[in-house]
Amino acid sequence: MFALRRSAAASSAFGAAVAAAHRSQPSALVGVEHEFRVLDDGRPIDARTLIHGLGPSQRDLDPSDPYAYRLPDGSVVTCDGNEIEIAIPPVPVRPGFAAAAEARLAALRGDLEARLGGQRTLVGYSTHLSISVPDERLAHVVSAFVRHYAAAQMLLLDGAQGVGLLVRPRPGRLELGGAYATDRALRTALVFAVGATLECLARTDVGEGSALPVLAPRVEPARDRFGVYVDRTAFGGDLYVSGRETALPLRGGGLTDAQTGLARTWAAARATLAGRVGGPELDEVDAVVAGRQPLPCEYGADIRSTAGTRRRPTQTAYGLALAARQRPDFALAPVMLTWQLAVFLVAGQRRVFAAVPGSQLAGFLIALDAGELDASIASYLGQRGLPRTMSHPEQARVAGLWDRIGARRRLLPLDPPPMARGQVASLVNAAGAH
Amino acid sequence: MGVTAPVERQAADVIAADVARYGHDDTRQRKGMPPPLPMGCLGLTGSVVLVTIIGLLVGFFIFGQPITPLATAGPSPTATLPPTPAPSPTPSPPPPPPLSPRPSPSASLTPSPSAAGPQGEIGAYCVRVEHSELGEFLSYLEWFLLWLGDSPEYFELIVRGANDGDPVTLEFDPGRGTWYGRLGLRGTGTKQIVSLVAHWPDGSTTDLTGEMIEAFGGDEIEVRYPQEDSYGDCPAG
Repeated sequence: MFALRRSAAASSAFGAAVAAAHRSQPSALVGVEHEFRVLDDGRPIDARTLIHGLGPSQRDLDPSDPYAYRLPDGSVVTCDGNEIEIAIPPVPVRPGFAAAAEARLAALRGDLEARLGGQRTLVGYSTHLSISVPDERLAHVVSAFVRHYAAAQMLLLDGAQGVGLLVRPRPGRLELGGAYATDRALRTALVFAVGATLECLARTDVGEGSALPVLAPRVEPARDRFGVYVDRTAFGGDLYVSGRETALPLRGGGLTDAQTGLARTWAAARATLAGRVGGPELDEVDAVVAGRQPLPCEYGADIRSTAGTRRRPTQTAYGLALAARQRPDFALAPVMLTWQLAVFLVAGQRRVFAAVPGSQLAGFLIALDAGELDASIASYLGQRGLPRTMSHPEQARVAGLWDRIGARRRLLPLDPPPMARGQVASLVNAAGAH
Repeated sequence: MGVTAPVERQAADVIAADVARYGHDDTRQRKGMPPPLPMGCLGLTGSVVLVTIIGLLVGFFIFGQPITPLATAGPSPTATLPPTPAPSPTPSPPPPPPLSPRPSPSASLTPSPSAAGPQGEIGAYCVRVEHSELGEFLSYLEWFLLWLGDSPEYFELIVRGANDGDPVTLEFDPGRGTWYGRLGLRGTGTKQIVSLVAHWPDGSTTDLTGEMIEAFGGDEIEVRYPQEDSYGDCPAG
């Protein structure tokens, strides 16, 4: 019993050190995914049949996804149904983040196209934006987002070929799914999504949202997956045909127009981004919202002409985590790397595991490389007694050291099953007086 | 470390062993939204696609097509886990319950609390048999409950033949959006639902046993081995 307590104390010391290192890191994280159809000589094919032949990089670090390969920069190539998907790792919201995300995705696509060869081509299918949100606030954020921000987000993300917006509460994050978007459309949609999510997240009093138009879209359950789907016709007219002039019904009766909603919601979202992102990113959204630049649904077919200045992608915490590390008393290498959780094998005088929430990964690596965790890990390695086993997502909420891990896939929180109509209404209406 | 393999190799062995033993929880292979419309197909074709989408949605909810697998987050053999998941405080106002209610109208229940008291109904439930250790028990039942309505403090569930007949508290799990509890099993055979009671913040209680049994279609649960059966609105897979 005492050995177990000493081990637990050493693990707690480790967790506290990681948490302290994390406090200096930006709090909000974003991730972006692009999905593509793969055409082989013009015919669509199931990407699952070819991804393992592409040999992109390290496999099996995500126990929930047999198709996922983690690339050296921390990005992922995988399959989602028949489509092939590239996903940048969660990166902190800081000045330049949107351009960096866009550049990384463009580089990933280029790399993927090169691996596929000339006969196979990629056709953009969808974009998924993820913003970190604590689990206990997800329902609130989904509700507020759909009621206030959905129409504006759809106008900024989807082109004329889009179908609508998917709003999904995922473990630890809000995921927004829409049409395939690149270049300026991607950057502006991402900046808006972050601002809107942070604005929803910041509200603690239901009355605070009253300054924004409260919309009354017809919402549907997402197909096959947990979440809410807002169709392009959910507001009555076709949002992607009428664009800024679309009449949007308000929850309390009456109408507003999409341009007014766009301007007002962006003003609220923009205010939350002050000090977090750069002026050029805000200016770019300003220009689109004000009509000085077109919305995606106002583009022609070619939106690549809107490309900004591309920057070389930089390394990320998820990329840095891939490398084995040697410390004076132990060596360490990853055995699991997901948005929610990273787990490392620690090999010293015995073998143990270090578990780190994904949100604290950057701080963990910085502290580790600086030697700030050496003492707590060495202390744990020196304990003998009853083994401590990590086997449940609840144990992964804080960084810790463990003697054993259970099935890796059971360490991840679960996505609930799809919703029913009544449940969607319950979720969207949950905040009541927003 | 002498001749011990490099840590990268040891890590690869850990991963390979995990995949070999547990496989992947492949929950990704479904789309959450309709596919994008091809460029230039926004007229009649777009309308046809939209009608098709609506048809699919209607079909989904009427006929109850398979839904996303819900892997259990149950324990692997360990002495460190409590017999029930860590309790989560119930937020106020009550959070929306994000477990899928059953699609069939026949499954919806009438709320039993009096009109003046707390209101609500069982929106969905899922009971699953897990043949994994839970403390001193060899196996256990996982009990998911989607509650639509006012938020109780907790539910208390008693199943004869499970958890030695002792009551189990269903706690709200914000990660799943459902009320959740585990009941240890010492063997196979018939287990019987004895009671389900909602405990409200004001100290009052509501007996939901009848509703639970009605939703279940009976009061008996058959536990077999090695089958890990599931009952109710559990996802396919």
